[in-house]
Amino acid sequence: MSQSASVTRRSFLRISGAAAAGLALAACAPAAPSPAGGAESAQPAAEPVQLSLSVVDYVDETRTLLSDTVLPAFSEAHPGTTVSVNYTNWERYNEEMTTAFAGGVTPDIFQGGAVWSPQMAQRGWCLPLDDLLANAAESWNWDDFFPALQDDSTINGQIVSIPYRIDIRSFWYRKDHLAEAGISQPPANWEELEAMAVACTQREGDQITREGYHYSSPGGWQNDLQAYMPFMEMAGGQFLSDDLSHCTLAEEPAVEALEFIHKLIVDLKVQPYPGFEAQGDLGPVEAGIASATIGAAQIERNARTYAPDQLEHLWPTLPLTHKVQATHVWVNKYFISKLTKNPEMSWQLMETLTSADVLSDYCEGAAFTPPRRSLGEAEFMTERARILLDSTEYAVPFPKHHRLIELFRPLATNLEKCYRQELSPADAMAATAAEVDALLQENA
Amino acid sequence: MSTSAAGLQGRPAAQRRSRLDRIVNSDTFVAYTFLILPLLLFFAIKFYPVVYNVVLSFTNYDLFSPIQFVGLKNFRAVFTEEVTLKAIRNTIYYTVGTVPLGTALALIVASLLNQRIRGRIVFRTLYYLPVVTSVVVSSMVWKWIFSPQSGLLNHLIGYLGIPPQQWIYDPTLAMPSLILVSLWAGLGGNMVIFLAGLQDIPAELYEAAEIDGAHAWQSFLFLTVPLLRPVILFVVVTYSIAIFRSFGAIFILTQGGPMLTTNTLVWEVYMNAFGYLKLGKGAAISVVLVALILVITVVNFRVLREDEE
Repeated sequence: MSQSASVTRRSFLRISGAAAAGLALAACAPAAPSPAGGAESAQPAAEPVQLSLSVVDYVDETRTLLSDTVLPAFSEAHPGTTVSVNYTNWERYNEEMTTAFAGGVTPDIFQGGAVWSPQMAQRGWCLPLDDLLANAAESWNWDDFFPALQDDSTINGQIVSIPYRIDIRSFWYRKDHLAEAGISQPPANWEELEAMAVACTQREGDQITREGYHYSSPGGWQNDLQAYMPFMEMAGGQFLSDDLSHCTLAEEPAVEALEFIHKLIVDLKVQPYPGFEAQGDLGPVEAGIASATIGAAQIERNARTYAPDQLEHLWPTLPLTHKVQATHVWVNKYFISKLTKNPEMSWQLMETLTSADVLSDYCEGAAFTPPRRSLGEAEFMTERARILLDSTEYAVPFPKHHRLIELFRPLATNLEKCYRQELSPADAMAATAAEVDALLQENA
Repeated sequence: MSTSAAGLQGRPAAQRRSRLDRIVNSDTFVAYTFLILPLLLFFAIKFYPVVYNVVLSFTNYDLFSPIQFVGLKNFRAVFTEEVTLKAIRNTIYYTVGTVPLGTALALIVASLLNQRIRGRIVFRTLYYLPVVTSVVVSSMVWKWIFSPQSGLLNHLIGYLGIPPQQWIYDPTLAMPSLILVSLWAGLGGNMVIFLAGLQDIPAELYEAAEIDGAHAWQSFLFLTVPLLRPVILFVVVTYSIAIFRSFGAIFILTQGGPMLTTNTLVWEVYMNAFGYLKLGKGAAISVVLVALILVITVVNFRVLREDEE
């Protein structure tokens, strides 16, 4: 056997080793460019355009709507343009987007949560939309979005996002519980809310068996905080000063709001602390173990899906008036990535996704509250959904600080200390303000 | 060096080729060739991130601004801020509450299942099941078990006349609840390691002890435990490291609450790095975590080795 023709075990191993090393090096080479990152040269306009979209707020119906109707229609209207969708979930979304931006490979358009606008703008991760929005079709109409939502999307005078759904939270009552307690009208102010909560609370011995007012459930670290915000806003308070330089929670309105909740939970014991948990997919009010709460559209959605017989008892109202009539709104919105290679086409897609027609179908599919005023007249809007939508006129969005999640942590901890009677309301707010101010002074 | 180089140049080409062939055909060369891939992978996904993490711990970095060197500022924050100090205390509480008890339980269960009892394979499988169950899934089940209104645990203690507890939502009971979950999750794996160790102990030793009049408990204490000392050391060290790094159960069950009572160093790393994008501080906390693991490991080695000596 000649040497050139034979393959010895050793030479085979040598070749295999070299091939493995070669493969390893090849694996270290940069990956093929993806739509919104990595590619040095953008595709010429005449070339096919591939857009990518990250969707985190969806149910089966909205997924079907996007993949079967909206995106095919968009591709048909824009020949050569295709859209790939990455469906993900909130639990991993923050990490996913952070690593996407750190790696420089992001979707062209992505959904974001309530506190995302200032973060995205501060980090320079989203495209300012003013110029693009100026070219929007007249029918698209930015003014159809509620003022509070426009404000939430505007950072340093620039529009950086477009809302697609809102979590507007207002008061929900159980008609049957109120009737049982001889109350014919829902409360209109804090005093009436307190009287209603006391009248509707039921006990067996020391155990509360029905919450007169459900403040918050145990579990998520933001639960207490989210339930506190609307009360603070009704009292005319705010979390940060207008210039975002310091925390204003030690001031009278914020303390007054906490004193009121403290009175309900600790003194009057209208709910145990922490409050009742959800019963499967039903919150305490839908399940009939609480008489009132502040909640969003999912109360009606859950009841319709899992306990339709309870629906007739559920009664939402406009926000209460204390110093002001106010409530809190969580605004979810679309952003265009700063790394997109196709800003114009991305805007075209965003304009489509946030048009009244698409939002109507999208919000109908998932029973979300839409961000557009005109959709109050949409067919799918029930009477309860319209009341919630009307509450948006009194909505207060989050302060526009890019480190809000970090700043919220002392508030969450101190609220809990207050409800567990380790701190008085005034001390809890003073401690929170001091801790938040210390964080604000950090050079982060 | 220059002499050998000159010598090489002076040799005939055939001789140089033959030497090259010898090198290429040597086992060492083949071995190194095959090691290239794992070494590259090791450097790329293990060594480099660890070094980079240590470098980051001396910086202020948030992914979108330029990296700024801040010296020991992050470490000072770790050892002065109440939240991180509490996380250190919680981590130690969690480890000290879990490891000794978990090790003892695993040893006892392994000793029982090392006996010739009916259905021992079934019992071994049952005890091992938590190890093959996803942390997320088992934590979700534990969340239901701990539910204050409808949880199994409150139902069971109700039979004993004990009023319902808030478990993971109670600042006093939250960490013991987490410890209970960790004991359950770690029992099977440690039990298998102890079983392997127990089967290495010659049966004659137990027979001799029995002839000498030793009771079962005395055999366990004065024969099994001393002979298993290296295995105990291994279990204690690896279990401690696992508990120090534990994240899944905290993420699903408590998220560091209530009132930061289950806020451990790993949770603090996660919050700083991904929640607040304070990558420098997150890196500093992880360096402190590694240092703590090293200290615990050295202490374990010292205590258990000295005992052996």
